Amino acid sequence: MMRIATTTATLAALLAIGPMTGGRQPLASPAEGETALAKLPAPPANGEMGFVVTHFVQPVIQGPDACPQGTTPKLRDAYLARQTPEERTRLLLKENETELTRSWQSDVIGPNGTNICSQPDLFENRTPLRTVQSKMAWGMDLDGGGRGRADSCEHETFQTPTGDQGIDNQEYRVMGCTLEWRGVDGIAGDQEVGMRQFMVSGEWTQVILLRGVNSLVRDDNVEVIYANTPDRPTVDSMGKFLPGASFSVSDKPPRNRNVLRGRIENGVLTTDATDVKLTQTWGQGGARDIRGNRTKYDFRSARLRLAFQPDGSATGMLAGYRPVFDVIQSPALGGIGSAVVAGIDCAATLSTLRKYADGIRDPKTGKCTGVSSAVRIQALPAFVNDPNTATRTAAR
Amino acid sequence: MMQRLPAMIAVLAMAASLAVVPAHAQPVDLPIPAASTDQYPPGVAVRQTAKGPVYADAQGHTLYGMDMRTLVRWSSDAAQYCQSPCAETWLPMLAPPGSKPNVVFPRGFGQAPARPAAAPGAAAPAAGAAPAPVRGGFNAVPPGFIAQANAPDWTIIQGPQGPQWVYKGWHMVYTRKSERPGSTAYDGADNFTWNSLKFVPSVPKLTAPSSVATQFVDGAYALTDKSGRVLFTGTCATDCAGWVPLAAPMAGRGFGEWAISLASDNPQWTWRGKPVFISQEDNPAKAPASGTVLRP
Amino acid sequence: MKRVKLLKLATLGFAAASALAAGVGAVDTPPSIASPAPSAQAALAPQFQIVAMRRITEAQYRNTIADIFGPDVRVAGRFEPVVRPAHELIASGAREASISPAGLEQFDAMARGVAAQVFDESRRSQFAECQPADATKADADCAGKVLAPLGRLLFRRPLSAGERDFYVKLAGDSAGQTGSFYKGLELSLSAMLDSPNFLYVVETAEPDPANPGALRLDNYTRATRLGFMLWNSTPNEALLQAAQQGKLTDDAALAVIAGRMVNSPRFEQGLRAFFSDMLLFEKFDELAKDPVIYPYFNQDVAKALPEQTLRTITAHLLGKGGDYRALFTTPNTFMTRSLGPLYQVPVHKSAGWEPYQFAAGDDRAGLLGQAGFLSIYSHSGRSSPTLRGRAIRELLMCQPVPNPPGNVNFTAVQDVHNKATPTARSRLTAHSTDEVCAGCHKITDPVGLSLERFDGIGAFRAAENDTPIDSSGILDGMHFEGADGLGKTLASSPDTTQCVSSRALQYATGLGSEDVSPWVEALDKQFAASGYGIRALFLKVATMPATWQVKAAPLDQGATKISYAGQRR
Repeated sequence: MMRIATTTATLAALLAIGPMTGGRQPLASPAEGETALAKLPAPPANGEMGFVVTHFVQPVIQGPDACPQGTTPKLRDAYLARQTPEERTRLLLKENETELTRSWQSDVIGPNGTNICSQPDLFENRTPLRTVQSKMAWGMDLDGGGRGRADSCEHETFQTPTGDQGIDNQEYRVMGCTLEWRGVDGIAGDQEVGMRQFMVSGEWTQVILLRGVNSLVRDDNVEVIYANTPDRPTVDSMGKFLPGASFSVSDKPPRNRNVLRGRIENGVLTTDATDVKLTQTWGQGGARDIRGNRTKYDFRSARLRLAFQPDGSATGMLAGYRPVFDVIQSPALGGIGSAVVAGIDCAATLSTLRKYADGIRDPKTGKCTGVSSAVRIQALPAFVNDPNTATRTAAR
Repeated sequence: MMQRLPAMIAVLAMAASLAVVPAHAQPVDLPIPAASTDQYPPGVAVRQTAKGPVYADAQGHTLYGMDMRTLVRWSSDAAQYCQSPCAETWLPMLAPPGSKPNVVFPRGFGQAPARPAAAPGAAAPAAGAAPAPVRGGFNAVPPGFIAQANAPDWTIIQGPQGPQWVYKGWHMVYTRKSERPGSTAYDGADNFTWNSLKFVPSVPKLTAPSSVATQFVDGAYALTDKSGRVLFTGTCATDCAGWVPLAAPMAGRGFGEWAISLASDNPQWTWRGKPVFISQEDNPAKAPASGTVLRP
Repeated sequence: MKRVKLLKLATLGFAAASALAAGVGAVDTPPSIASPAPSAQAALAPQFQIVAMRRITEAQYRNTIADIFGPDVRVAGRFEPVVRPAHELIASGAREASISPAGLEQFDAMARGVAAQVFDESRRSQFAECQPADATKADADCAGKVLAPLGRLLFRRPLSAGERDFYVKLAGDSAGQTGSFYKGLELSLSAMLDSPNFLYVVETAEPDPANPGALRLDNYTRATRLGFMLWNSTPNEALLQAAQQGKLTDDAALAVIAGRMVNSPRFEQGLRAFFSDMLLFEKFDELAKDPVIYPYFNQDVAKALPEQTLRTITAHLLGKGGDYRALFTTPNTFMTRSLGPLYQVPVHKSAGWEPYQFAAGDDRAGLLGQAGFLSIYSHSGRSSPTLRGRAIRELLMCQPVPNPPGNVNFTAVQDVHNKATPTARSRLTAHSTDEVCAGCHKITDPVGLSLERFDGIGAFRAAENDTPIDSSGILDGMHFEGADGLGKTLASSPDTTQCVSSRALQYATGLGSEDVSPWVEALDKQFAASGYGIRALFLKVATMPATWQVKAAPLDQGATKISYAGQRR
């Protein structure tokens, strides 16, 4: 029983922290995914286009310059690194394994049954995470160049591999050197597969419904419903999404329904900045902790960008600011298992995120409480019912 | 300690006349279950509000449950959460002095067993005591305490200010300071940490065919089938496809208020002499326009 | 043509009781019904003669248990299927069906399960109108009061005195052994459920006063036939009372009763059973597709396919009172979320079924454009114009097509990757150069090729191996295009309405197509006169004299063809 519980906590923690790089089927970036006008699909007859989101993962750029010191050490390794070389050698002896375990684990357990992941706010002065050192990241310019506005804080920016400047992605800066995000260069995939499982299982199914689409070349006024559905996706025997399935939008917790306004230019839809909430239930925590039923993706001042593909699918990105605690929501819910099994230092992660926070300024304190973030999206044609109308985009 | 509802009939009559659906006003993801009995602590009354009947204190202030399950981030013992600044705005509904707690917030994985309930006034364990090694399972409850899953409607927990009432195992009972009687303004506050305690009459005891159940629908209990579709009666004049008889055994004899009619094509249950049908509406809580939902 | 053999009831009574005793294995000595059973024979007048025994189907068994004991009594077990004779209905096979020893074991296990639920503590008061003087002992008087009404419902006629005595004694003996009156009832009930009188519809006949020397089916047999034919379940109380009052041999009263039955909502259950039999729906039980070739196929789809077809049929024929012929052209059907992706159409409701109408001119019109028909008459990895054409001929037009000879070389049709033959039409053309094959393929393929724009699971495709599909077809000299054209052609063919008329009569009587052929043309004319309404057809079948007549054969010619538990009777 305990063994199962431990495994579950570990998996949850591993899956939760975010995707590794690339994946077995590398996702095209919005820029890479943009389609020649001549190849754009015809605009829908009734002005509606429906999609089901098949991929929803934070993109990672691989390469030696991102994390030149390697990935952020796990709790055990971090403890060892703080010891003298002699002591480190002694602790690593087989006969001292129990002592080593007890020593590093005692570092993550606090008074009155608290621990570093369940109550990360109570653990202070942790060593910050290693951050991404390169200039490259995927994302969007959310604040007009990183100088900080009334609702954001000054910070360094990235540029995309395709040349876009002023890219805000502080979440990637902090998390991009964790093993959970970066994986082992060139052998990525586990995390993305894990994240995809949440989509395939129907736990987080997202749908996008565009209304009022008159042209895929230029249309200045498109309504975008970006929502969750309790309906499970139709997948083949290998777990691959199939186009042409029907979904109904729901706005009842834990589902969400967001209404966005956007425009289409040369086959690319871009929406105005607004808050976007999407289902992100993590579930773990047991009967004594129901927060996992109510967690969600909470993107503030977010924009959606989607490039229409010749085969009817769409690729793109959602970018906005996330409250810092949301980034560690899953390992926090995983509790002590996240620390002692997965080796995650939730308190250090949280404090590093706070340090690099660049958005969601608290009007009382003047401090930023959120990090800029970007999620890559792939979507297939689907019939989206909201609530009593349907699209016919997938019809032959 | 508990008292029987003084005017049960009056309250039930009031509940039956409600147009609202208390059950639907609960946190939609994890609704607080209906009370199992019609007994509750002294000083508690049922009060009508604009959003339906709620439990209230003697002055009519709405009782709120603080859902301990939402507070693990702040304390490993969520029962101790509401201290400063929370205690500046929320007033605990304390159990009579000397009451012995019978529930605790369960320990989590890897935590030491929850400390035994201290008698009022007893010293709390020293802070900073050495943590227990990583062992133990989820949600373990120490001996002598009731597991939340088995908790009766009202139990007592050791709160920051002494023994305090808890509703349905998880919801520590508070009132909001300075809130006017009859207000439910803080219902669902802090991402459903605070939820008003809605009064839902206890489930009626029913002698009925095994295919029949009850559900709280539109302010009162209704008879349903096992899948939750309401049962209704009436006479169908046209378009009777939605009038599916509640199937009865041809060889059965009926009992109590339930009899079996063999007069129609299907053997069909009748209740109090009326033929019983199962709703086929998209909304399983609704009967066809000319049908009448059956209520016990 | 099969001969209907007759058997005296007394013979069956003894046989049934013996088999029953063997089946339940709970009495020490053979039941006493054989020796002191004059009452068993006296119960029905000697002139009543068994003229047929038809095994009830799984659906009929389940519906019967639900009707008699309530839908919450579970029937758990595997049913030995009734074997379908070539080119005939299962209803006709039921007339010939035996039960193997293994099958009987299954029936016995189900019977015990049902009986245990009926007399468990929560339900027994429902089914026992009296209480024993002492619940630990036998009580013959009370047992008789409980078992006789159950026996009447299960055997679809009153128990004979001998039968009543036998089941009461069985209950008493078992109560003695188990120390429980209710255990005794339980065992006796399971013995009834094991009895051929329950598992078979025992059809008995009486002299026909209108035709001296001839026989007609008696009242209880008619009640049972009506129940199973029109509602696919055991006769209800009204039918049993009508039988008791002799109304079912009165033409006028029979017409009123049958009229009420075809207009009842319960007729839908009967019509579903009829079309499931006529369209070979047992094939859905073994439907398997290659998941790599057909990613849209899964178990939810497999389950929804027959239901879609049955909903289309019943909504059209009953809901709208529609013309049978329009089943081949109707654009109206039903969708559920699992089928939406296969058809690539929107489905609004997250759960359950909703009506759907294909656009005018869509090739999907009619039953033959539905994925149900298209997928069962395909192979696991490719479509089959031959199977589809054959099914149309055999099932919808009642034109049997011979089986292929055993030594056929199928290489040409199976090689779907051969660039020289990219479409099924080109592969079949290559295959049919073999003259041995060509004869039959001429009958089937020109029909089935019109459906080639639907693949092996019935999903739409415009091309095969990048080659556009030619969906032209020919049926009996009529040229047409696609499923839409095929549907219109079938709708205008007299063979389709004659076929369903013949099937309805076979379904009612359990006779084969040749046996009923003398009446089909007249029946089809009356069907036409009603505007090809299905209620009218079944009402006509239920009231026409041919349905109730018995072709007499010499008595005392030995056993019937029924074998039971491996014992030939």
